Amino acid sequence: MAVTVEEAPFVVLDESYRIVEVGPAAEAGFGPLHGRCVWDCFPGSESMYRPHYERVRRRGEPIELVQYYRGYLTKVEIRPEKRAIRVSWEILSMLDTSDLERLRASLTDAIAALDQQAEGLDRRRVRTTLRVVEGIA
Amino acid sequence: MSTRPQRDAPASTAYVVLDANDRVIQVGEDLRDQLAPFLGHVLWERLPDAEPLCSPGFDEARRIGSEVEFPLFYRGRAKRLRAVPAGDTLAVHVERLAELDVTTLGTLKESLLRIEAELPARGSEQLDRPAPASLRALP
Repeated sequence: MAVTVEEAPFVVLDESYRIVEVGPAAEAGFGPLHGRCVWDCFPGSESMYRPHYERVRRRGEPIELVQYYRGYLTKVEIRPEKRAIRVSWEILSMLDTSDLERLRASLTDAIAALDQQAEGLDRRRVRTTLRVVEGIA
Repeated sequence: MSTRPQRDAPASTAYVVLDANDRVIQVGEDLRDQLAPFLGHVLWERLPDAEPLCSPGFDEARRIGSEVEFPLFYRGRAKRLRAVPAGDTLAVHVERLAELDVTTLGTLKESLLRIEAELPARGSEQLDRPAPASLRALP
Protein backbone atom coordinates (compact mmCIF):
# COMPACT_ATOMS: atom_id res chain seq x y z
CA MET A 1 0.00 0.00 0.00
CA ALA A 2 1.40 3.37 -0.98
CA VAL A 3 1.48 6.09 1.61
CA THR A 4 1.53 9.69 0.53
CA VAL A 5 3.00 12.26 2.85
CA GLU A 6 1.74 15.67 1.89
CA GLU A 7 4.28 18.40 2.22
CA ALA A 8 3.15 21.90 3.06
CA PRO A 9 3.13 24.23 0.06
CA PHE A 10 6.21 26.43 -0.12
CA VAL A 11 8.17 28.79 -2.31
CA VAL A 12 11.76 30.00 -2.03
CA LEU A 13 12.43 33.64 -2.84
CA ASP A 14 15.72 35.22 -3.82
CA GLU A 15 16.81 38.68 -2.71
CA SER A 16 14.74 40.38 -5.40
CA TYR A 17 11.65 38.42 -4.38
CA ARG A 18 11.78 36.22 -7.42
CA ILE A 19 10.50 32.70 -6.93
CA VAL A 20 13.45 30.37 -7.39
CA GLU A 21 11.93 27.15 -6.02
CA VAL A 22 8.36 25.92 -5.81
CA GLY A 23 7.04 23.03 -3.79
CA PRO A 24 4.75 20.56 -5.54
CA ALA A 25 1.74 21.53 -3.46
CA ALA A 26 2.22 25.22 -4.27
CA GLU A 27 2.65 24.42 -7.95
CA ALA A 28 -0.51 22.33 -7.89
CA GLY A 29 -2.46 25.12 -6.25
CA PHE A 30 -1.20 28.12 -8.20
CA GLY A 31 0.24 26.78 -11.44
CA PRO A 32 3.69 27.72 -12.76
CA LEU A 33 5.37 30.19 -10.41
CA HIS A 34 9.07 29.56 -10.98
CA GLY A 35 11.02 32.62 -12.08
CA ARG A 36 8.22 35.08 -11.45
CA CYS A 37 8.20 37.94 -8.96
CA VAL A 38 6.15 36.93 -5.97
CA TRP A 39 4.38 40.32 -5.86
CA ASP A 40 3.19 39.83 -9.45
CA CYS A 41 1.91 36.36 -8.63
CA PHE A 42 0.02 37.55 -5.57
CA PRO A 43 -1.20 41.10 -6.23
CA GLY A 44 -1.80 43.20 -3.18
CA SER A 45 0.27 40.98 -0.91
CA GLU A 46 3.48 43.04 -0.84
CA SER A 47 2.45 45.40 1.93
CA MET A 48 1.37 42.46 4.08
CA TYR A 49 4.38 40.20 3.59
CA ARG A 50 7.39 42.28 2.64
CA PRO A 51 7.98 43.69 6.14
CA HIS A 52 8.07 40.14 7.52
CA TYR A 53 10.40 38.90 4.80
CA GLU A 54 12.75 41.79 5.44
CA ARG A 55 12.64 41.11 9.14
CA VAL A 56 13.63 37.49 8.59
CA ARG A 57 16.49 38.53 6.31
CA ARG A 58 17.65 41.13 8.79
CA ARG A 59 17.55 38.91 11.85
CA GLY A 60 18.35 35.60 10.22
CA GLU A 61 15.70 33.88 12.31
CA PRO A 62 12.48 32.14 11.24
CA ILE A 63 9.12 33.58 12.15
CA GLU A 64 5.54 32.37 12.10
CA LEU A 65 2.51 34.52 11.53
CA VAL A 66 -1.15 34.25 10.71
CA GLN A 67 -2.18 36.17 7.65
CA TYR A 68 -5.36 36.73 5.70
CA TYR A 69 -5.17 36.98 1.91
CA ARG A 70 -7.70 36.42 -0.86
CA GLY A 71 -10.26 34.63 1.23
CA TYR A 72 -7.79 32.37 3.05
CA LEU A 73 -6.54 32.57 6.60
CA THR A 74 -3.14 30.92 6.63
CA LYS A 75 -0.39 30.18 9.08
CA VAL A 76 2.81 31.21 7.36
CA GLU A 77 6.34 30.19 8.27
CA ILE A 78 9.21 32.24 6.88
CA ARG A 79 12.71 30.79 7.19
CA PRO A 80 16.04 32.20 6.08
CA GLU A 81 17.98 29.95 3.69
CA LYS A 82 21.40 31.48 3.06
CA ARG A 83 20.56 34.54 0.94
CA ALA A 84 17.06 33.38 0.16
CA ILE A 85 13.95 32.86 2.25
CA ARG A 86 11.62 29.90 2.28
CA VAL A 87 7.94 30.63 2.76
CA SER A 88 5.61 27.77 3.62
CA TRP A 89 2.00 27.94 4.65
CA GLU A 90 -0.94 26.01 6.02
CA ILE A 91 -4.51 27.00 5.31
CA LEU A 92 -6.44 27.46 8.54
CA SER A 93 -9.77 28.45 7.05
CA MET A 94 -11.29 29.95 3.97
CA LEU A 95 -14.18 32.28 3.35
CA ASP A 96 -17.30 30.90 1.74
CA THR A 97 -18.93 33.70 -0.23
CA SER A 98 -21.81 31.59 -1.59
CA ASP A 99 -24.37 33.47 0.44
CA LEU A 100 -24.57 35.63 3.53
CA GLU A 101 -25.14 32.77 5.96
CA ARG A 102 -22.12 30.86 4.73
CA LEU A 103 -20.02 33.99 4.66
CA ARG A 104 -20.93 34.71 8.24
CA ALA A 105 -20.26 31.11 9.29
CA SER A 106 -16.89 31.06 7.57
CA LEU A 107 -15.88 34.31 9.24
CA THR A 108 -16.77 32.72 12.57
CA ASP A 109 -14.67 29.69 11.62
CA ALA A 110 -11.77 31.96 10.74
CA ILE A 111 -11.91 33.55 14.17
CA ALA A 112 -12.08 30.13 15.82
CA ALA A 113 -9.09 28.97 13.80
CA LEU A 114 -7.22 32.04 14.90
CA ASP A 115 -8.07 31.27 18.50
CA GLN A 116 -6.52 27.82 18.17
CA GLN A 117 -3.15 29.15 17.20
CA ALA A 118 -0.39 29.20 19.70
CA GLU A 119 0.19 32.31 21.73
CA GLY A 120 3.05 34.39 20.55
CA LEU A 121 1.76 34.74 17.02
CA ASP A 122 1.19 38.31 16.08
CA ARG A 123 -2.54 37.99 15.77
CA ARG A 124 -4.16 40.84 17.60
CA ARG A 125 -4.61 43.08 14.56
CA VAL A 126 -5.98 40.32 12.32
CA ARG A 127 -8.32 39.11 15.03
CA THR A 128 -9.76 42.52 15.75
CA THR A 129 -10.36 43.23 12.08
CA LEU A 130 -11.99 39.86 11.51
CA ARG A 131 -14.39 40.54 14.37
CA VAL A 132 -15.36 43.83 12.80
CA VAL A 133 -15.76 42.16 9.41
CA GLU A 134 -17.94 39.47 10.96
CA GLY A 135 -20.06 42.21 12.42
CA ILE A 136 -20.64 43.64 8.97
CA ALA A 137 -21.54 40.27 7.48
CA MET B 1 -39.12 41.97 -1.34
CA SER B 2 -41.27 44.50 -3.16
CA THR B 3 -43.90 44.27 -5.82
CA ARG B 4 -44.64 46.88 -8.40
CA PRO B 5 -47.02 47.20 -11.32
CA GLN B 6 -46.10 45.70 -14.68
CA ARG B 7 -43.97 48.00 -16.80
CA ASP B 8 -41.92 47.84 -19.93
CA ALA B 9 -38.63 45.98 -19.63
CA PRO B 10 -35.59 48.26 -19.26
CA ALA B 11 -32.91 48.52 -21.91
CA SER B 12 -30.57 46.13 -20.04
CA THR B 13 -30.15 42.72 -21.58
CA ALA B 14 -28.96 41.15 -18.34
CA TYR B 15 -31.85 38.74 -17.97
CA VAL B 16 -32.88 35.12 -18.24
CA VAL B 17 -36.30 33.76 -19.09
CA LEU B 18 -37.55 30.69 -17.25
CA ASP B 19 -40.43 28.42 -18.10
CA ALA B 20 -42.94 27.25 -15.51
CA ASN B 21 -40.46 24.61 -14.26
CA ASP B 22 -37.60 27.10 -13.91
CA ARG B 23 -35.98 25.78 -17.07
CA VAL B 24 -33.83 28.41 -18.79
CA ILE B 25 -35.37 29.10 -22.20
CA GLN B 26 -33.69 32.40 -23.06
CA VAL B 27 -30.58 34.29 -21.97
CA GLY B 28 -30.11 38.00 -22.55
CA GLU B 29 -26.97 39.20 -24.27
CA ASP B 30 -25.33 40.61 -21.14
CA LEU B 31 -25.50 37.26 -19.37
CA ARG B 32 -24.62 34.98 -22.28
CA ASP B 33 -20.98 34.56 -21.31
CA GLN B 34 -22.02 33.14 -17.96
CA LEU B 35 -25.39 31.56 -18.51
CA ALA B 36 -25.57 30.42 -22.14
CA PRO B 37 -24.56 26.87 -21.09
CA PHE B 38 -27.63 26.84 -18.82
CA LEU B 39 -30.04 26.98 -21.78
CA GLY B 40 -32.41 24.04 -21.67
CA HIS B 41 -31.52 23.18 -18.07
CA VAL B 42 -33.49 23.80 -14.92
CA LEU B 43 -31.72 26.73 -13.28
CA TRP B 44 -31.38 24.94 -9.92
CA GLU B 45 -29.59 22.01 -11.51
CA ARG B 46 -26.79 24.43 -12.35
CA LEU B 47 -27.08 26.72 -9.32
CA PRO B 48 -28.53 24.54 -6.57
CA ASP B 49 -27.45 26.82 -3.75
CA ALA B 50 -29.28 29.74 -5.37
CA GLU B 51 -32.69 28.09 -5.17
CA PRO B 52 -33.49 28.94 -1.54
CA LEU B 53 -32.38 32.51 -2.16
CA CYS B 54 -34.35 33.10 -5.36
CA SER B 55 -37.34 30.78 -5.31
CA PRO B 56 -39.41 32.76 -2.81
CA GLY B 57 -39.25 35.85 -5.01
CA PHE B 58 -39.90 33.90 -8.20
CA ASP B 59 -42.84 32.06 -6.64
CA GLU B 60 -44.28 35.30 -5.34
CA ALA B 61 -44.10 36.95 -8.77
CA ARG B 62 -45.89 33.98 -10.35
CA ARG B 63 -48.50 33.87 -7.58
CA ILE B 64 -49.49 37.52 -7.78
CA GLY B 65 -48.91 37.83 -11.54
CA SER B 66 -46.86 40.96 -11.10
CA GLU B 67 -43.17 41.76 -10.95
CA VAL B 68 -41.26 41.31 -7.72
CA GLU B 69 -37.93 42.92 -6.95
CA PHE B 70 -35.53 41.74 -4.29
CA PRO B 71 -31.87 42.08 -3.32
CA LEU B 72 -29.59 39.07 -3.35
CA PHE B 73 -26.11 38.23 -2.14
CA TYR B 74 -24.79 35.23 -4.01
CA ARG B 75 -21.27 33.99 -4.74
CA GLY B 76 -19.65 37.18 -3.57
CA ARG B 77 -21.89 39.56 -5.44
CA ALA B 78 -24.78 41.75 -4.37
CA LYS B 79 -27.46 41.97 -7.03
CA ARG B 80 -30.96 43.21 -7.43
CA LEU B 81 -33.28 40.76 -9.15
CA ARG B 82 -36.55 41.71 -10.81
CA ALA B 83 -38.80 38.78 -11.59
CA VAL B 84 -41.40 39.63 -14.22
CA PRO B 85 -44.10 37.04 -14.98
CA ALA B 86 -45.51 36.81 -18.51
CA GLY B 87 -47.91 33.95 -19.13
CA ASP B 88 -46.12 30.71 -18.27
CA THR B 89 -42.70 32.32 -18.31
CA LEU B 90 -40.77 34.43 -15.88
CA ALA B 91 -38.19 36.98 -16.99
CA VAL B 92 -35.53 37.58 -14.36
CA HIS B 93 -33.61 40.82 -14.77
CA VAL B 94 -30.29 41.06 -12.96
CA GLU B 95 -28.66 44.26 -11.84
CA ARG B 96 -25.22 44.00 -10.30
CA LEU B 97 -24.81 46.24 -7.27
CA ALA B 98 -21.48 45.49 -5.63
CA GLU B 99 -18.87 42.78 -5.43
CA LEU B 100 -17.05 41.31 -2.48
CA ASP B 101 -13.30 41.92 -2.66
CA VAL B 102 -11.60 39.29 -0.54
CA THR B 103 -8.02 40.32 -1.38
CA THR B 104 -7.14 41.76 2.01
CA LEU B 105 -8.98 42.39 5.26
CA GLY B 106 -9.14 46.04 4.28
CA THR B 107 -10.74 45.38 0.89
CA LEU B 108 -13.03 42.77 2.45
CA LYS B 109 -14.24 45.23 5.03
CA GLU B 110 -14.74 48.04 2.53
CA SER B 111 -16.58 45.85 0.06
CA LEU B 112 -18.84 44.45 2.79
CA LEU B 113 -19.74 48.00 3.73
CA ARG B 114 -20.52 48.79 0.09
CA ILE B 115 -22.66 45.69 -0.18
CA GLU B 116 -24.52 46.52 2.99
CA ALA B 117 -25.20 50.00 1.64
CA GLU B 118 -26.47 48.57 -1.62
CA LEU B 119 -28.74 45.95 -0.13
CA PRO B 120 -31.76 47.73 1.28
CA ALA B 121 -34.60 46.39 3.41
CA ARG B 122 -34.48 42.58 3.40
CA GLY B 123 -30.80 42.51 2.60
CA SER B 124 -29.88 44.79 5.47
CA GLU B 125 -31.90 42.70 7.89
CA GLN B 126 -29.94 39.66 6.81
CA LEU B 127 -26.68 41.49 7.19
CA ASP B 128 -27.39 42.86 10.65
CA ARG B 129 -29.14 40.01 12.42
CA PRO B 130 -26.38 38.19 14.36
CA ALA B 131 -23.79 40.92 14.20
CA PRO B 132 -21.61 40.77 17.33
CA ALA B 133 -19.97 44.07 16.50
CA SER B 134 -21.44 47.38 15.52
CA LEU B 135 -20.76 49.16 12.27
CA ARG B 136 -20.07 52.15 14.43
CA ALA B 137 -16.88 50.39 15.50
CA LEU B 138 -15.50 50.85 12.02
CA PRO B 139 -13.12 53.70 11.43
